[in-house]
This record gives sequence, structure tokens and C-alpha cells, in this order.
Amino acid sequence: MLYQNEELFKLMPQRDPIVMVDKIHDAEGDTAHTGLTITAANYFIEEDGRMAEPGLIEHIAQSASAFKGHQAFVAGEPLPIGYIGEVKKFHCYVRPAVGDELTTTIVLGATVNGVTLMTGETYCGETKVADTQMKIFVE
Amino acid sequence: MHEERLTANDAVYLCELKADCDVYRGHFPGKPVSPGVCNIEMIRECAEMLTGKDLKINTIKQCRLTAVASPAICPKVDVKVSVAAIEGTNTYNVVATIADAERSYMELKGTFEF
Repeated sequence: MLYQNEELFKLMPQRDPIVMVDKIHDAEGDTAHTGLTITAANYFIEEDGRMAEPGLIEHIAQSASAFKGHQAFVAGEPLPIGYIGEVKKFHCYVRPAVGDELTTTIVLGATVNGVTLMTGETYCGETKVADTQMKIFVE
Repeated sequence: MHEERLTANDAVYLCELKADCDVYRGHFPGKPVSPGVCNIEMIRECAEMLTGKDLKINTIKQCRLTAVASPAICPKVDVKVSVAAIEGTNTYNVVATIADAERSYMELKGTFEF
């Protein structure tokens, strides 16, 4: 485990109530594995105890944001603030529930003119929850 | 919220971005910016009103976030939603935009399931 809970705050600008990543398990080269334990207090939990799909997009986006923050931290550079520029080919296979542990693989692609291409794939155990491509603008 | 229904499958919803929404405490501290995913959620909820059904986002083929939105920049936005039932399924093709008189904030194409 590289970072968990508040340790991530030095890598990313998001704070309570919309913190959607709470672990970076490992990061090497262009790939990182992140995680989130879904609590009842999670901002995207609906009345049925399951997460609204935009919460999964935000989890993947914040995972990428924290990963880029880690890269900047290691390089001694200022913390980037990223915005989602585009979501493409997002699929939600199942809505995870309170108590589920999400594990996500982030692969960063090329950065051109401040726009980073990335892919994210989220699992709960062996079950695929969601996958997507994204463009992230970094400020 | 105000609804202007164009046809059974198209409507425009005038939605307010509330500056006192809890989300801005964390996104970002001292710099309130509407999370793009909350705008996607706004589209889902408008599509639910249009169809009268609970909808799940199955796929987003493409969603472009064309400008930063916040209560200061755009206190009110028009969410325009069009749905088309895909025959033989519980799924709608959904096309939506979020805009005000100044600019466009979001364009989304996807499939939502009931």
C-alpha cells in the first residue's frame, strides 16, 4: 500500500464530502491500482444502498488525479488539478453497494497540450463493475 | 425546476445550481466548481422525469465537458434531454445537452436502462 485515507490528500484537491478514492495500492510507470471502500456516507449512495453510476466515473477520475498527483509529488513538482474533459465508452455492469471494496486499474496514456488520455477499469472482487476511457485536463 | 416538454420524447429542464450544495465544500475547498459527474447525474434525473421510469446509466458512448460549470458562472442551466426506446429492450438511447445563453457545458450520448 502506497497511500491510504488522508495520506492521499497531499496528492489530490478533492475533500469531504466528495472524496471518491481512499487507497493507492501501487503505482509503476503508467499504471496504478487504487481502491475505495464504499461507506453509507458516500455522496453517491442512493436510497437502495447502491452507488449511482456517476460515482463510479468520479472514482475513476479521482484515481487518475491522485496517480498524477503521486507522479508530481515524486518528481517534486506542484500538485496538478485535473478536470474531466471527456468520458468515452463508459460501461456500468453492476452498481456496487455499501460495504463493497472497489479496486481500479488506471493506465495513463499520452499527454498532449495538457490533455491526458487514460483508461480505468473497476472491479469488486472478481466482478467487473465499470470501465471507461477519459480525457483529463490538467491545470 | 421548470419543465418545457417539447414532445413525449424531448424536454428541456431549467435547473438551478445551488451555491449552498454540500458538494462544494470538497470540490474544491475555496474554489467551488460543479463536478462534471454531478452534471451527468442531473441528466439521468431529468431523463427519469421525462420517461417516468427509474433509469440506470448502462453506457456513455461519449460525454464532452465543454466548459467549467459553477453556481457563480451558471446559476441556472437548461438540461435538454431526448430519449428513443430501443425496440425489444428495456433501454433508451439518450442524447442530452447542458447549456445556458452563454455557452454549452456538456454534451452526452448514451444508453439508459429501466
